[in-house]
Amino acid sequence: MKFDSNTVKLACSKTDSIIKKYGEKRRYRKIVTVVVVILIIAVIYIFVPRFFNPRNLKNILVQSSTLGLMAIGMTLVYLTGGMDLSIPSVMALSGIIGAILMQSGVNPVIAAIITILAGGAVGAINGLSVSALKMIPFVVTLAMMQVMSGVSTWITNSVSVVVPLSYINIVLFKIAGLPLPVYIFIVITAISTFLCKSTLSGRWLYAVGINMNSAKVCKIPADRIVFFTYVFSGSLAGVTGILLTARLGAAGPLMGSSNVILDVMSAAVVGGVSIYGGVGSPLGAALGAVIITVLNNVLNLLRVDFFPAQVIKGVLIIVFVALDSFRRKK
Amino acid sequence: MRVPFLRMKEIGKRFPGVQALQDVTFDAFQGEAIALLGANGAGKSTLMNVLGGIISPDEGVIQINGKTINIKTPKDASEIGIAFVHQEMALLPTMTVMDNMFISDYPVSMKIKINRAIMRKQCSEVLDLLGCRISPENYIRDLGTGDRQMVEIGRALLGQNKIFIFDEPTSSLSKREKLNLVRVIQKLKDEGMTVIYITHFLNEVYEICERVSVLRSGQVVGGGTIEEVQMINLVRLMVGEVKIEDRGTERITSVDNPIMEVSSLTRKGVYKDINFTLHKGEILGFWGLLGSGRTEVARGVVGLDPVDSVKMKISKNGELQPATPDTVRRQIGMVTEERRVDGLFLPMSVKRNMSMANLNNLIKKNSSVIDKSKENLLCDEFVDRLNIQISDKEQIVETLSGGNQQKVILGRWLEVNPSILIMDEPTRGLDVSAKAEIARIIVRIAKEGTSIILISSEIDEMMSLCDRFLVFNKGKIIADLAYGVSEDKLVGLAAGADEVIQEGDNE
Repeated sequence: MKFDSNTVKLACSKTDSIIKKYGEKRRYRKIVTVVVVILIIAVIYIFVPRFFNPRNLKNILVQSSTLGLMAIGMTLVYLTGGMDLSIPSVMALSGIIGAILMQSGVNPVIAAIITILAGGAVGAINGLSVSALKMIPFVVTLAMMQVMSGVSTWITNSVSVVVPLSYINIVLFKIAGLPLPVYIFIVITAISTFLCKSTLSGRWLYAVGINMNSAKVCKIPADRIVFFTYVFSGSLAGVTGILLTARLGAAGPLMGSSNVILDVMSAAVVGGVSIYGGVGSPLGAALGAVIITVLNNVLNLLRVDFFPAQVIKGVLIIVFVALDSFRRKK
Repeated sequence: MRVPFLRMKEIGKRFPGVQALQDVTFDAFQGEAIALLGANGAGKSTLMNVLGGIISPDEGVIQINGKTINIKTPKDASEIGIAFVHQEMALLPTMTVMDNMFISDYPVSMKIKINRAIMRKQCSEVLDLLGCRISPENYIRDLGTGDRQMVEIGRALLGQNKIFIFDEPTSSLSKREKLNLVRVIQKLKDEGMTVIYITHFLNEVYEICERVSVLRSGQVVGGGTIEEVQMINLVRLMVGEVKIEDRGTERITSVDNPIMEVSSLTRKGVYKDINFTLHKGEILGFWGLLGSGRTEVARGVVGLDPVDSVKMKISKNGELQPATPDTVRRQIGMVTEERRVDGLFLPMSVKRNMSMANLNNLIKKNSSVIDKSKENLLCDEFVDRLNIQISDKEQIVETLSGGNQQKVILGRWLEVNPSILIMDEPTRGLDVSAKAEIARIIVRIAKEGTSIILISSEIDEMMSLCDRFLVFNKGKIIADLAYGVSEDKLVGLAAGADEVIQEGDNE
C-alpha cells in the first residue's frame, strides 16, 4: 500500500481529534462538578449570607463526614456495577447495638469495634448474596434495608438508646477546633481513594465494573472483589454509626430513615460516580457529600419545608443520572 | 437479463475499526432461493441487518423491482414485506405460541378486543403447514429449541410477506423438522416468493437454493447459479485464498516434549470425552465448523464455562504430572472470539488493558501498590515489539482499529508470558495486512516456546500456521492429523457435519 503525506496527515488529525474528544469527555465530569459548586456558592452568597458564619461552616463539615463515609462505601459498590441500599439502616442498627452494649457496661472502645464488625457482617451477607448466589443487588439490599430497620425498631421499641457522656467526649474530641469525625472522614477518603487509584484491588474493581466478562478472562477474582465491596460499605456504615451516635448523644432507628439513602446516592452521583459501574472515585463522592450537605443546610436556612426540599434533591439525582446516561450513549 | 425483485446495490458500511461491508451488490429473484454464504464475520448478518432496517448503510441503495426504496427502521422493512427468521430466538418465553406469532400485529375486533379465535385458527394452519405438532396454546418456555425455531418460522409465514430471510434455520432442527422446512420453502418459491437462505451447511444449499452469493471480509467474492459453482469451490471462496505468513515446512513434529494433557473433558450436551496433548512450541489447530465444539472446548479448558468432568496434566521438569485444573489454568492465556464482548475494557486506556492480566507481577514488593514505572516500561516494550499503532499509551482502546485492538490483547498475554496461549479467531474481522501481522506474531511466539491452540474459520490460515489439527464434529474430536494433510481432506472432514443434522435436543 502507498500513502501520500496528505492521507497520513488526515489520518493523524482524525486520531488527534478523537483522542481530544475522549480526553474532554473525562474532564467534562469534573468540570460539571466544579461549575455546580461555584454556582451554589454564588447563589448562597447572595441569598443566605448567614451561611458563611464559621460555626455554620464547621457544622457542615461535621455533617458531611457522616454522609461522606456512607457515600464512599456506596461508591466502591457502584464501581463494580452494584448498589447497596441498606447502608443507612445498617448504620442505624450497628449504632444501636453499640449503644445497647455501652448501656450494659461494655467498654466504649470494645463497643465501637463491635459496631464496625456488626456493619461488616451485614455487608458480608449482602456480598455473598450478590457474588455467590448471583442475586440482584437492588433486591437484596432493599430487602436488607427493610430487615435492618425492622430489627432496629423492634429491639429499641422506637426509643432512642442514650450513650454515656465519656463516649461522646472521646468520639467528638477536638483537634485544632474540629472534632474527630472530620479527621476520620478525611483519612478514610484519602485511604480509599489511594486504594482505588493505585492498588491491585482498585484496578480490579474498575475492571469488574467496566466488563465482568473480560475481567474473568483476565483471571481477575471478580466474585471476591464484589463481595469485598459490600463488606467495605457495611463496615463504613458501622463507622458512621459510631460517629452519628456520638453526635446525637443517642442511637435510634430514625438515624437510618429511608430518606438518608437518597442523600447517600445523591452524594455519589453528584460526585461523578457512575451508577453503571467503572467510573468515579471516593474523593469525588466525598466532595459530593459536602455539596449535598451544603444544599441541605442552605435549604434549611432558607426555611424551605422538608417535602419541597425532598423534591429538589430528587430532581437533582435524576438530572445527574440523566447526564451520566447521556454521556454513555455518546 | 431478468430484473431482480430485490437488489441491494453497492452497499457499504463502516464500523469503528472495521469495514463491515464494501461495495456489496446482492440480487434476489422471485420464485427462487438464494444462499448467502460466508465465514463468521464475513458480513452476512450486517448485510441482512441493512435489509431489515436494523442498520443503516453508509453507501448504496436498496431497490425492489428496479425502484429505489427507503428502509430506515425494522417497521419499514416489514411494511415492504421482508420477514426475518432470526437465528437467535427472539421469542417471549412466558407467552403462548400464538401470542408470539401475532405479537406485532394482533387481529382485533371492534378496534379494541383481541380476537383470539382468529389467532388460533391462523396459527393452527401455519403450524400444520410446518408439520409442527405443537398447539397454539403452548407456552414457549415449555418448547424445545427445534419447536421454538419453527414458531419463529411460522411468525414469518403469517403476514403478507414477499421476501423471507432464513438465518441458519436448521442448526437446531431435527431431521423431520428440517424436511418440513424444505417443503415449506419449496411452497414459498412456488408461490413466487423470494427466499434468502443463510447457512453453514453446504449440502442444504444444493438441496434448497437455485443461486448462491459468497461474502468474505465484507466483499462479494463469488456467486452464481448452483450449476455454475461446485461445493469445493464454495468452501474455497468462503475460507479464502489469501496467502499469509507461511511457516513452510519448519513445523514441530516432535511428540517427546508434551506440556499439557487434557483427558475426559466433558460438558453434557455440548462435548464429550475430549482427549488431547499439547507439545512445547506447537501450534495446535482446532478445526471444525461453527458449533462443532471447537470454541466450547477451548473455553472449557481455560475454565470460562463450567465442565462436568476433566483431568489435566501439566509438564513439570519435563515430565507430565497430574495437576488440579486451577493450577493448569493459571498457565493458560486466552484470546477470546469476540474481543469487544469478553476481551477488552473498551473505555480504558491501552496501558491499562495491556497490564490487566499481569497486575499480580506489577505490584511493588510486599504491598499491593501498582508499580507505575514498571507498568509503563512493560507497556512500551510490547507496544514496540508488536508494532501497535497508537499516539499514546493513554489512548482509549475503543478508538483503535480492530487490528491494533487485537494486538493490545496479544500484548496483554505476552506480558504474562504464559506457557500456553489459546487463540479463538484471532484475525476475525481484520483486514488482510492486519491478518498477516497477527499471523507473524503467532509464529514468533510459538518459536519462542509458547504452545498455542489456534481456532480459525479460515482454512488457509490454519494450513499455513498449524503443526497439527484436531478436527471437531458434533462435540467430538473425529481426527488428529499432522501437518501435511491436504486441504480437501480437512474441508471434507469438517463438512461431514452436513450429513447429520443435530437430532432435536429437547431439554
